[in-house]
Amino acid sequence: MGILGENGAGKSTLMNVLYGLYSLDSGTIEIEGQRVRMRNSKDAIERGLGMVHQAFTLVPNLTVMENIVLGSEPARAGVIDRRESRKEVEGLIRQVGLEVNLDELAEDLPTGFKQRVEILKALFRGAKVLILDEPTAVLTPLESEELFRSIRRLTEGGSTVIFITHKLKEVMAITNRITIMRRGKVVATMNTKDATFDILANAMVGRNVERKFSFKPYEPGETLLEVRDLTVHTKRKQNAVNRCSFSVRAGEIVGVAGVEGNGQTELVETIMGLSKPSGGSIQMGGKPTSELSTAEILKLSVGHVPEDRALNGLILDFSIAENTVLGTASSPSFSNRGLMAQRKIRDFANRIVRSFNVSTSGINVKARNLSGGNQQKVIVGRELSGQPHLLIAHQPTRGLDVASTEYIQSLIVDARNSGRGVLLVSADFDEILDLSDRIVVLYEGKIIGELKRGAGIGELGKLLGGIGAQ
Amino acid sequence: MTGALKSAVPSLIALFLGLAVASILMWILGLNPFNVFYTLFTGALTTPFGQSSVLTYMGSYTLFALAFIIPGKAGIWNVGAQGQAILGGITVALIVTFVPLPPIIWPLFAIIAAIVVGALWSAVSGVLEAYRNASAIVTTIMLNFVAASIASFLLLWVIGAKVKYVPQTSYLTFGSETTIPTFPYFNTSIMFIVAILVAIGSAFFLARTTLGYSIRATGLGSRPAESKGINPKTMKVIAMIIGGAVAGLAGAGDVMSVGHGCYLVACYQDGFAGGWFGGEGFAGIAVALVAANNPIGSVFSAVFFAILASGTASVGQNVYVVWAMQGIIILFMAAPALSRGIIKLGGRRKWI
Repeated sequence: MGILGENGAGKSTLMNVLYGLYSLDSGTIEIEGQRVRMRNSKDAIERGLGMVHQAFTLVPNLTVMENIVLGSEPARAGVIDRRESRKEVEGLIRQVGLEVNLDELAEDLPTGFKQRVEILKALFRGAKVLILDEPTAVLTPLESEELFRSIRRLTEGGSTVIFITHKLKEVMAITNRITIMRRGKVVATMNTKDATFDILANAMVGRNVERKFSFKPYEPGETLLEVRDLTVHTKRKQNAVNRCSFSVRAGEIVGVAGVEGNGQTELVETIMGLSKPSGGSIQMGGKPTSELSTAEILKLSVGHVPEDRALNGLILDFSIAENTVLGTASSPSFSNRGLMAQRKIRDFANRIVRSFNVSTSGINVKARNLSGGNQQKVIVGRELSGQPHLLIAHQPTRGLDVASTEYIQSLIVDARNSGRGVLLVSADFDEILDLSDRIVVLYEGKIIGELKRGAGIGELGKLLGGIGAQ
Repeated sequence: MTGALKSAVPSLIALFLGLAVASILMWILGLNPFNVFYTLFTGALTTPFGQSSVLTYMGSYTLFALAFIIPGKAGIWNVGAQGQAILGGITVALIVTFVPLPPIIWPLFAIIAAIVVGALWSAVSGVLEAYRNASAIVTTIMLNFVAASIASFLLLWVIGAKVKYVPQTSYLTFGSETTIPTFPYFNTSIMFIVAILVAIGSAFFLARTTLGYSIRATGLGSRPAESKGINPKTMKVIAMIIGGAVAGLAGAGDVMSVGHGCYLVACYQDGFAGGWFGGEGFAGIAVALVAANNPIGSVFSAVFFAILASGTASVGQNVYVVWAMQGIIILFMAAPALSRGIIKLGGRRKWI
């Protein structure tokens, strides 16, 4: 069963009530026909509920085995019975088919496996109903596929899985029944075989999702960014970027598609001067930039929406106002002989909040207290208000709800229509297909193909899977 | 202002808990807590000696706290204010011994020299952390010992202290023209006023200048700062330089406030025992933690610690109870802030 809804629709809150983490104000919960009261998560576990949160709760320096049995270890006279634990855990794994190496340390596991251990942990405690909160948010597409296979196996084995998500494709792919929530209310429940993307999307956002933007005719102008044979080695990875060449011209959106971890991060960091290339060249407006510092590159009229807004884009403990001048605080527009021009900064921040629809009670609110969508609006507002010739947007809509996503995307299209060049790096392939005039596909650090607007998802899919056109 | 008051609440709670636990401790030891507190506070606040020593302690505690707070805003831990101050102080001693200058120029020159030396000394740790990934917590602590040894060497072999029971600079006297002016009524130098001004200046610097902004940005989010063209390495070094400069000023103030040669000797004598300023450099960290790293708050926090420190003189043989109380209060106050700080730092770097 799937629970579908936008960010903030109340899915997680509902599940936390169910799991005894929040107490309910009114209404009842019934399990197997019996009215129950969940005072805490222990109650919930005893009644056969198990929950896997977005953030994992594994102890990093214990083994997988120890993590699974933690808190409910089979013990004899107070001493943990390791052999017995192992037998039980191995039995469980055989039964549900979630393969994992029991002797590895939890911290060494890839994300997908950590999640698997969390699921095993819940099952080990006898969970019959498993609640998964946005389980694919942290997974790569491949890991998601594996998760789906595991879920199918669990449900075939008689378990119930409640799958919380805001992704239409996922509920369609994995669920039997879908409940859609909006603003804290259940708006619809249906069998998956009766559902279509249109029905779900309409129920979820309460209006037609028009994923159409108006593009001006494609007339690319001067070359703003020219990347030639760029190669980047990092400490962890040789050839993280491997002889990549592409360019971005004024008035076009160039999409860099690729499954995450195929060199996008390194590519963008190198373009922005945050790391140095090992070979090749980068030119902006005809000027070589690979030896320039980030500050100097930003002065060449470049806007950068970084990959992880909370980690790279905003200083969460700074106010909105302070964040809007990040990087420009020392410029003459916001300072006067080394002092911050408070009024100018306030005016500027207010202008960004107004013109980019940031919903907040004021510009002195800390960025931490904004929702993801509003955080991203602040970043995009900051970057676009510098009127950059070139905008580099890295995963600009990741984790945002439908409305914010659409708004941010429309800003990117507007930037293109007003003659800016946009480099859009994204792992959201709908986004890439919807927005890009040209698409280059990164695979293991190499550009393995280039597509024009109008290319189908099939063509893109093949390139993403590493099957090049040549 | 309400925000500032709100952030003072945990400190006040810790203060109350600390006093309560200390009272229980005294009661167990058979002392009357009220008597002890009465003696402590009246000794510190009503006697002329107490008052002047409260102000003196308050001045140096405030400066030492700021020497910790400012680098802290850039996310770098300056635990080396002690060493930076020692070298600032010995610089003053060298200048009084070897550099003949006219009366009014002299104190100014000596203070500036001490500030520069303190700044350079802390810059070493700043550069090591920023460019060589060597934790400043470690390097500043270790450089404290180096600084103390350098000071001892200079005192014994260059300035020429005589060893009787302890090394003494028998001929090194500060005339009235070489000391910092005394504040009228209270028999103390004006250093405490300088400290308050530096605290206000630091608060203004951090909140209102572009450099202060960049330093805070580095401490709260070095990655977003870097991706927007602020160089966190440079900012860390600058913040350390400023912190060291304040520590150097504290060192100069401590030496030049004394006014008499014999006191100076006493200061140096402690230096050989390891705690040149009686551990004020480290106390400054506690003062800063209690002030929740707020520059203005550090003044108030410093007053409290100064009362405890100077009140001990009147408590007499039960002085250990006051020390215990200081420790308990610091523990209560620092524990949440400290653990949060360590978690924050630990997440970003490997400990050496």
